[in-house]
Amino acid sequence: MNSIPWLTLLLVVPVGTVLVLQVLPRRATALIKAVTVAGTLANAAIVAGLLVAFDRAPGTKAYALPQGGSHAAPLTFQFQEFHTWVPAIGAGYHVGIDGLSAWLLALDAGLFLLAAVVVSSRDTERLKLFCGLLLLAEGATMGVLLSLDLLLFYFFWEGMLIPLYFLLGFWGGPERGRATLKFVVYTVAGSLLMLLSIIYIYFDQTATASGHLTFDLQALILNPTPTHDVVGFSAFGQHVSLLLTPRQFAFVGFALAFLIKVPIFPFHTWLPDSYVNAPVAVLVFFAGIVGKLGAFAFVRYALTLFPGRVQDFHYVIAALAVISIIYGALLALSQRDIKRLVAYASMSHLGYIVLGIFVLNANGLNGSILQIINHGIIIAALFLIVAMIEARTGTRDLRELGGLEKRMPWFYAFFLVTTLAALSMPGTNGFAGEFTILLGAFTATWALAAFAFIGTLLAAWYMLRLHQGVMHQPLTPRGEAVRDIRITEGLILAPLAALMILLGVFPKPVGDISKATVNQYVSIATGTQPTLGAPQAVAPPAEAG
Amino acid sequence: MSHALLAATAIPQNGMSTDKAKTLVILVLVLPLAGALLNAALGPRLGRRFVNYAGTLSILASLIVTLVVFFTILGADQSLRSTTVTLWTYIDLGPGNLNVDVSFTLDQLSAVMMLVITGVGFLIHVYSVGYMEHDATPHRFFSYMNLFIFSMLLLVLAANLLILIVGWAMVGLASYLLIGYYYERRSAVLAARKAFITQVIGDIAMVVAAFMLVLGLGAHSLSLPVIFATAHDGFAVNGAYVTAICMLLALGAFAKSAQFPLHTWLPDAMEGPTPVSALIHAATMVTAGVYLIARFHTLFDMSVLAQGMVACVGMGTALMAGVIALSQIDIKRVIAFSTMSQIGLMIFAVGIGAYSAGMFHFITHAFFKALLFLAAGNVIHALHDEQDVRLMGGVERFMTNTGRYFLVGSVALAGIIPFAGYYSKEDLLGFGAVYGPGAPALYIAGLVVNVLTGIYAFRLYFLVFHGEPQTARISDAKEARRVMLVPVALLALGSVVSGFLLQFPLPGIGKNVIGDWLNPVFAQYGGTVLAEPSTATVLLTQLIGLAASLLGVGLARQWFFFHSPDAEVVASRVPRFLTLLSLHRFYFDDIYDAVLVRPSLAAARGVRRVIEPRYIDGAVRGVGSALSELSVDFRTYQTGFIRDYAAIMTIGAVGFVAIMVLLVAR
Amino acid sequence: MLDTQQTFPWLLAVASGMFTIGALGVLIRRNPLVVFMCIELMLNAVNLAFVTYGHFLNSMDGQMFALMVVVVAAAEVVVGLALITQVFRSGRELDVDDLSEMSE
Repeated sequence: MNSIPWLTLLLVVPVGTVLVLQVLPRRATALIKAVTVAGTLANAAIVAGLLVAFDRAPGTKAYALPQGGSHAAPLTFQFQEFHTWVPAIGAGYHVGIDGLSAWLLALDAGLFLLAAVVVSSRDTERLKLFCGLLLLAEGATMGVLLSLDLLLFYFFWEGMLIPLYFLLGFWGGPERGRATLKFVVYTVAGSLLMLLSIIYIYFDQTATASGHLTFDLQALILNPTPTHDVVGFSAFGQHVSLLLTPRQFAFVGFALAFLIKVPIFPFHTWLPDSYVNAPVAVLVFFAGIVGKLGAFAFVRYALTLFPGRVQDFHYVIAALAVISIIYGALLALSQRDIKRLVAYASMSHLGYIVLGIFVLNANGLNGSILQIINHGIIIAALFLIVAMIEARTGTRDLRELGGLEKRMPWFYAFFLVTTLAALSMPGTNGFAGEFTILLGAFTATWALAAFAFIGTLLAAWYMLRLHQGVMHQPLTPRGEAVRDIRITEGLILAPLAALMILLGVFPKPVGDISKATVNQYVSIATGTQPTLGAPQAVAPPAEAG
Repeated sequence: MSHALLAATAIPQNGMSTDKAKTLVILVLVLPLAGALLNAALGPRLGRRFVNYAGTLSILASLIVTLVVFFTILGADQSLRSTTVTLWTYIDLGPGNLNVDVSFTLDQLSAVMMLVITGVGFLIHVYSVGYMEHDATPHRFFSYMNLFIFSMLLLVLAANLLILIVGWAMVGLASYLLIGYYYERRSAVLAARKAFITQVIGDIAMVVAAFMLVLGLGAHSLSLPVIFATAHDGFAVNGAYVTAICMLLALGAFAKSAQFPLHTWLPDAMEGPTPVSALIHAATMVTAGVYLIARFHTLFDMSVLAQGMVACVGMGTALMAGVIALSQIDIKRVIAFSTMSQIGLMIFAVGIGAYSAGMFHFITHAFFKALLFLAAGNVIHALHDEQDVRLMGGVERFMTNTGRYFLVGSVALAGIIPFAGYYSKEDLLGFGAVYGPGAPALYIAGLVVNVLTGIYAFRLYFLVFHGEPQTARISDAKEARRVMLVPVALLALGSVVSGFLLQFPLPGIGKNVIGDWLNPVFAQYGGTVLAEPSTATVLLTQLIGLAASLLGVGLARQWFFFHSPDAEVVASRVPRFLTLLSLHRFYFDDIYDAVLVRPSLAAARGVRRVIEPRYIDGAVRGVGSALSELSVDFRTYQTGFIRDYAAIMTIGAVGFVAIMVLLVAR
Repeated sequence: MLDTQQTFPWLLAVASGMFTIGALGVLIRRNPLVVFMCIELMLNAVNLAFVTYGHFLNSMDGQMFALMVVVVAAAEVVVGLALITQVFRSGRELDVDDLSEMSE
């Protein structure tokens, strides 16, 4: 099975395509577009194959510890590849997928394919550079999803920023400079905190027989962590307590990085500026997958590396997520700029995903994975729709829009489906995910779910305000000469709309692949999974308070 | 998993085989859906004829399938009449987590609902062919209408709470789409939005109820049979938990059925085309709340408190809407408030546990209310979209048939023997006299509703069809085309016969057809079916009820038969505060606007204008600007001369070494 | 051959002398080429110190570092010379004080 390194191919194909692009002449735009689409299509095909071949009930595999010996692997990964990378510090090229990353890979490949198609359907300045950066971003995001080694993960995590920086900075809207700076500084600040935490975790491993330290995720999960006292120092004869143990500080470092990336209130202020100023082809994957990688990393790293510690904080983060839901919804409700409205709507929806993760039960986490897929599809469609409206009417102001249904019946149909999915209409994919998440939240504590429902109600309100504001009421002068969408645009929107309905009536495939993995994550996060030094790994209850 | 048990019992000799049930369910659902998709996709190309045929024939086909279902159930043994089939697995997250099947139940209750939905639905579709003949986008209309039929069937067939919620929300969607059908009218757009958001409140209540069922019963499948079968073991009778679930379900029902406190959307919903008002906002969708409570009878039977609340809300809404209907001047709004009032009676009936009585009134109401709306539609159509009753009068002279049918509908609505409304309304009031919390009080309120019904029903009839024409336009009115008259005539027939055919009131003389048909459903899962009141009680209540109805009609004749149709006329007849309340619809719209809508919008604006820029983003920008101010100080050292950099570097290095040396030397 | 006690301070003295000359050159001279040579001088002074210490401490580390420095220096020369050539080709006078665009 492992004769062909499929996962490595996922990284090689985009980078290889970039190299091919370099050979092409700058003027050959059609060729450049074709090659870009072909590259992303190849990746999508590989991911599709991986999903089909994915073992839905893998069971637990033995895991050979780098420090010697073997142990039941806490997480079951498939299609694993391992090569030594920097043996001196225990960093390896270790890639693999589980039920969590499998779906995100699918979303990733799908959205980049979509982005490539969007690029090829329009004129772009400096096309070759644009396509190259797009493909590099694909490679980096794939790397984030595939890597099972903390250093490798960090490498890709930061690497993701570079193409994004240029894509936003060169092709962005009028305020791109400020927006890009804000985004990059914000995320880098978060990433550096995470790097500190990674380094801390690295050195906090208990010495093993061979004395090896490692960055390998599985080994770090298994590694018993010594318990520490609360950090404090003496000053002026007084002991000042910093209230948290070092391990808790490390968790906070990770959490901040991911909270910023998702983003969750109050770390969200980069989002509207960057989204509003990003070109649509970038938005498709920027809004569609990059934010979701924060949620993904929450599950993959924050839940697993801190067994016991997660429970110290999960209500805090869940509460922030709920605030994010309502806050984003309120902001969306009062926007007149439709792109900004959608950006805040996205923030509100991302709150549900994080909420589902931090209620720490299988329903919530499965729901979050489902909603990650759903939201990727929905938000990509919404931003495409906004771009189509802006391209036709020349405005994004709700007051100047109206009555477009009369001119654009086909567009109206796609917009309607997307709107309904975005407001979690039962029968669409948004409902399937939100229902499962909120069931998990309700199980954990009903108050969280109760407040989250306010967001659901507001979602109906602002989405209808958007949809009706653009499509209904008397036709405005801006809309007089507007034409309905072209077939190519329809072919871009149609698969998205079809997926919204398909996953709404049949979300089972997502759950089938994710559920086994989810159980593993939940048992690690709640500390019910035995690790090597189980007694040490589980914190004494006194410290948790 | 949960259906293994049911599947075993669902393969009887003369019951419905699972395969047959599956085929029927798929057919009955797919046909309207196919109609909707065909109309949406091909309608614009293929034109009006295609749309008319695709729209109506798909419902006719669905009606035929429904008849097959009905007769199959009819032919089955009493114990074998309920069949549950699973089409596919919706989601399966493993044991102990959500695992939901897409499953459907064919039984007596769903069969009744299906018959009304497809039967009345078909007639209204045919009528729409005529009504929408001048409309520019008939494909849109029929697509939405077919989608509605599909959604409504989904709702009544669902054997799983999650699927029921899907249907529940989708009928709301169809309603939204059709209320906002004339989307260039701002009032229609706002009415649609209001209806949708009110429905979302109900949907959320249903979802929370589903969550509580999962937690309380461990019913991770959300399968209705499983929930009902385990409810008695899982919940304490009259316990707070089951009461809470029932309250939430009832809230969902109230949102859908336009009951207090979620009723304000229904009058605004009259912005939609009249056939929509007839189908969705009178005959079928708004009665879904009645169906829901009847379907969840197992749970409601377990909570006296919830039942009492439902009964009180139902009767209260019936009274309130009856009062409001007295003063409305829009022909459709009068009928809308009448609908609200009549559904209040149904809700009252299912609230006291008289489920089959509630369903009986639902059936007869579907006939006469659809009839009233369609007849009103004929008038509106003939008068070129005039809806103000003050500008009508004497219409019967020009539209004789429509006038007659409208009269039939009004008589049936008022509840005069032997029209359908009489049997169903007096039946449920008879139960109300004997059963339920505070039985006599609510019964007396019901009699008041009877009087009010008589008044507003005939007020409307007299104002529109009698007296002198108030505008010249009326004399131009022409009788509707046959395609619009035949459905109305058939509905009028139903309004006459559906009462005594389904239930003859005196025990021993006739047969209680509807009760015999439905009661086995309500006896399932250890449910209790209320015994018919004694013969003397029945006789007495029927007579008193009829007297009350006649009193109402008489008052209407006294007040409105010879007088000019003016709202002020009503004002002089009833106490002033009632008039004010009535005219302002009990001020609910104003209260909600002031308490809910405006504060939410103000909060949203506050967040956008103050909190976000000043505090949240302000903090971020504060950090940023602090850093850049700091950097201004440092920038003075960046002269740009390499020489300076080198010098600073050298000095730094020397200084560093010096410090190290000094430290080590010490 | 080398008398450890005798040569050690001398070697270090030569190294520090070379370094000082180089540093002063960087600070004082205005021709970028000369500045460049002075940097090389400083690097080689450090190299000498490395090798000296390595030798007297019987460790290979010093020579390893020296080799590393040589490699870095070579790379640096390539880049530096390329930059200087570019500046020269742009027709400007070769004066480090004129190259102050970085400040703004």
